[in-house]
Amino acid sequence: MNDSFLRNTDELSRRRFMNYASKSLLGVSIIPSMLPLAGHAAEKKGSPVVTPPPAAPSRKPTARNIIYLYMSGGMTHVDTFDPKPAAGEAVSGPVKAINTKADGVQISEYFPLLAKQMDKVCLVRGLTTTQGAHEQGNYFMHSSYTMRGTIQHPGIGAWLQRMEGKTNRTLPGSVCIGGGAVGGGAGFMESKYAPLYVGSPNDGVPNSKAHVGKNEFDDRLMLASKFDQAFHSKYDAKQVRAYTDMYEDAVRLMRSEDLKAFNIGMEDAKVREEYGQNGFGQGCLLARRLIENDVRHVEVTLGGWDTHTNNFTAVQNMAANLDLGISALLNDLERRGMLEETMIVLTTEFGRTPYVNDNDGRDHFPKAFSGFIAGGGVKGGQAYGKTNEHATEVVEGKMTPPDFNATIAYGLGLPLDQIIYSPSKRPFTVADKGAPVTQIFG
Amino acid sequence: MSLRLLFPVTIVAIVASATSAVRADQISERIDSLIEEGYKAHKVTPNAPSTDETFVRRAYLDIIGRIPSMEEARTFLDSTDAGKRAKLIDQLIDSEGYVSHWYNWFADILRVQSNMGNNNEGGQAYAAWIKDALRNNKPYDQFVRELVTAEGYVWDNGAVGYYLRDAGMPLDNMSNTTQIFLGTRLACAQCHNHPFDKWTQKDYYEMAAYTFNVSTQTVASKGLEKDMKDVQQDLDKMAKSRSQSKTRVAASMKRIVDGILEPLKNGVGEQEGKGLTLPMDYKYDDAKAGEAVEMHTIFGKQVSSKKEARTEYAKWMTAVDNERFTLVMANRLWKRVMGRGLVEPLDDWKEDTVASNPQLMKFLAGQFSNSRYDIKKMLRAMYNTKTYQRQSTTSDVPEDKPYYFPGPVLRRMTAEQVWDSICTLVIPNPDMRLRGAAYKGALESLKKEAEMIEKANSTDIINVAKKYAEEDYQLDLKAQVARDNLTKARVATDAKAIQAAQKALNEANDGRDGIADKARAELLAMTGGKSKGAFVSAIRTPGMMTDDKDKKPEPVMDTQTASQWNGYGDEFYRASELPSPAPGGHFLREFGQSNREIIENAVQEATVSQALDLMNGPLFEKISNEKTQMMTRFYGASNDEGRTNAIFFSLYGRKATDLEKAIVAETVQAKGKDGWKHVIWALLNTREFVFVQ
Repeated sequence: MNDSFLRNTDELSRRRFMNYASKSLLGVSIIPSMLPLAGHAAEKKGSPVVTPPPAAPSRKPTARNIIYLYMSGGMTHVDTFDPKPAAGEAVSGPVKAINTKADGVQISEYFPLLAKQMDKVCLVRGLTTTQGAHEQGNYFMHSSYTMRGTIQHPGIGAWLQRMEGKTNRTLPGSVCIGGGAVGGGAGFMESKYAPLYVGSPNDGVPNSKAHVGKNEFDDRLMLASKFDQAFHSKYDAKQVRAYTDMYEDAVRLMRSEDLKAFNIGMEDAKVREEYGQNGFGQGCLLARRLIENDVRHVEVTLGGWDTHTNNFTAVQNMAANLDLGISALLNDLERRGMLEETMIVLTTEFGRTPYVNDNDGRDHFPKAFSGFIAGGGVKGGQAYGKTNEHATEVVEGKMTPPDFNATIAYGLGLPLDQIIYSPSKRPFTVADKGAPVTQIFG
Repeated sequence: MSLRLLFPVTIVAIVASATSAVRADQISERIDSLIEEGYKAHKVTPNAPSTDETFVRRAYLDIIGRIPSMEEARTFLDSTDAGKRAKLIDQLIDSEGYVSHWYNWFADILRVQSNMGNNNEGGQAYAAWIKDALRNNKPYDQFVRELVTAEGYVWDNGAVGYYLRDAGMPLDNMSNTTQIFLGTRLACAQCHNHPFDKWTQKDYYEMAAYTFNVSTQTVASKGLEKDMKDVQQDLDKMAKSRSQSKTRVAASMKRIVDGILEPLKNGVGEQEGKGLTLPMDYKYDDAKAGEAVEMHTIFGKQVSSKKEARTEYAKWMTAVDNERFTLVMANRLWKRVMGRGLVEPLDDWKEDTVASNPQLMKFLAGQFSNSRYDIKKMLRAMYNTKTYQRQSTTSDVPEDKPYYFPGPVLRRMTAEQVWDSICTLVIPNPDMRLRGAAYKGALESLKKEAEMIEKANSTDIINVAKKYAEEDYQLDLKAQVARDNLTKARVATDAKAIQAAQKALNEANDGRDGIADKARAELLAMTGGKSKGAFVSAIRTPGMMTDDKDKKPEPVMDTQTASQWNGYGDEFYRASELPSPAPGGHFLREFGQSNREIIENAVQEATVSQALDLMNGPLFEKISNEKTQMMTRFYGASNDEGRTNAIFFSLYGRKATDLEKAIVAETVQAKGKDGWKHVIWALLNTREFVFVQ
């Protein structure tokens, strides 16, 4: 990647990754293999991880997996999925709107490939949030709760595992590629529900190969546990046991056959090209491989959307990668017959000011912004929600982050009213008090 | 003499009688007796006293942030001096290792980032300023006052980092200030009345008004500032004109002028007449949206003075009668020493907050202000208590229940402690391997550039910008064409065309990237200067402006001193000397070092990546390399007992038990030379290694 701006975005996403990699608590616990697709709670009643007795899900799930594409920094809505060609240059800048495969749905000219597949996508144009700062907005979007000093809330990946367990025994239940958010981790839930953070899709899981052969390695492990026996018998503490669990998980992961799911090098060169030779594109490809291997929640971050200056140059650059990545992902999943069971969600922390500022940029705009949901039983070719003529106000189909997450949870068949208590005994639900928008489902 | 006589029963009286200086050991005794009263009241049995083996490792880790070397552990353990614990505490508190360890703590609280805005030097000057304050035990109230009143360029006053860190976010800066120094969370009230506390949005704005005029944009001379304002206005007008090319050229010019002035953005000043107004969506009855906000403190005495508002506000915040200021820090120090605050969480105090041991909390705060905010004295007192020197608690210490301190809390090492301990295993004198000098040259040349730009004629600046704006505009056009071609090529899936368009786009963007630097270099050449890097000589140490003879300077790194680390690899610097935060994927980050984005964001939880790193990461080979500190001791030993001890003293700060010796012997017998490697690997991968008992 020589393009200097993209280097910059990659750097941003790397930074985000670093931020959260530090919190990475990979959940790889011993859970009996789950039944495939029919992830319905009824069939999972016997599962040891579904505690307390699961409440009935609101309905049959339409989606089994979720690929969550996070546009970090606050994606401009006007220049992407909610263009306002009639509003003139003060709003649109130099960006034109183009027709798509969906009748009457226009998107920005920066997405020519996606336009051809708009029949698979349900645009969400009525998003609105109360959080105008990055960290807070990002947190709210991921967790449905606003940031508090006293507790950290879990993200959808943790909720999914907490309520339904894991499908693949050895791979993590949730993976974040190139990013991650404080509100998208395990929060107050046990650390085993947290995602595994992967910095670069090309590198796979770092340090997963031992320096010595299997027998030697086993001897070393045995030796360590002998030396540690005195310490263990003295300190009967959760944080000590957590370490021991993590070592077991780490060893199990090292030895997993499925570790090759992380190796995108096994893909055909042509497929890799299709997704785009950039961090985001390859991240989408890795997401598909992981979903295929029963990792049910994968997040891919594309950073660099904080375009206070030179908005149009930046957006055009990022949109090129985004357009390529999403289009390849939609095509590939469809080709493999996985689009029906996999929900692709694209969102961001907030939109950007519809009026172009003096630096040819756009500033934070929490009042109205866009995202989309595709696949996973959602009816494509539609735009849900509407903003006014200058995109400054949602006039139809308003969705807050809790509403948006409730809609995702609804698709995944997670019970919206099931209360999970934090260790401090406070009650929480998967999307707080959000109301799902059920009419977008087919 | 009985304690009762020394310390009058009512604690308030102690606070009031700030007359005679109380010795640290007297404070220790009083802490212990208040803690013991807590045991009685809550029927708590204290833990047994710690052994010397436990103590020496803990003291090194807690006070200077790393494990003791083999010699350090042995020296302490072999000593028969009855007062050796107190002596070790004194020695550690006054060492350079203390600066490193406690800097990490402040860096986490203050979110110090090496890369602040435009350059690394600014962030490093801020870090150097904090280290200097720790080295010289700057009274805490003075430390805080200097931060919140800081002004000038970062090369003259590193404390301006406090505002540069939040450049462009004055409101967030105030939330951080109240959270860090006053343990009060106002962040919610930034947008609306606080849902769980009494703060209103108006309260918040009235507080923020004290520092709202702080400017981090440029600290240019008045003349240049005015000229630049005119230029900006002209450009703005031009940018709003109808012609697209004009708009583009104006945008280019603005970008370049901005880039030229970049060196001036390393300072803090006050913008005259800049007042704060309520937001346009203000929705409460107590004021009107858009109304000007009057300065008003959130609690305690009011500060009315309009002149020197920031100074007055700093005085208010750090005044002895602003109790919360003292309480918050006393509690922070206690938590850092014992592993749990008397008040938790430590930065969300409310009016009804009660400490788990209220008398002790009051006492600590009283002594802290009495000692004129002497951090080292408070730490010395805490480390010398029986309470601290007990065994750590062996069972869970639940977060939602009060803790009465039967002993300190068992803790996993912080990321920095693990890393610094590994450095201790590898290099000699890890505390003295400093990097301070490296950035000073760059900072000095930045300073020269800034001085020259300040003196530059604004016509010259404009002319240079104009010249390069044309080039920038042309490149922008090229980029535009390349992007359009790229899109077309992608739609057509034409690989060759994609490649060509991508190449053209890269060239154009790379060209644009460097253009402001080129423009600045030309301007500097015009004004008789040379380009960056020509001023490395004549270095004045930042943060050393005073001629205070008693001041402890940063240890000097001459080539002779530096030669002891030859051949050890450039990565083995203590965490405090590495960029803050360490880059992604670094060992420090995997072990939970804060990203330094959010106040105290470090985590000590177990992760699979940590286990993978310790088991399979590249560090193990480096630690077991024959040149390392541990391994030279190992190879220096004449028999297996000596070799075993070299490993155990180096990693655990103690000798091996009989059982451990037997396990080692068994392993070495079975595996020969490789057996030793197994032993080292195994010990590194134990809980005993990463936990602080």
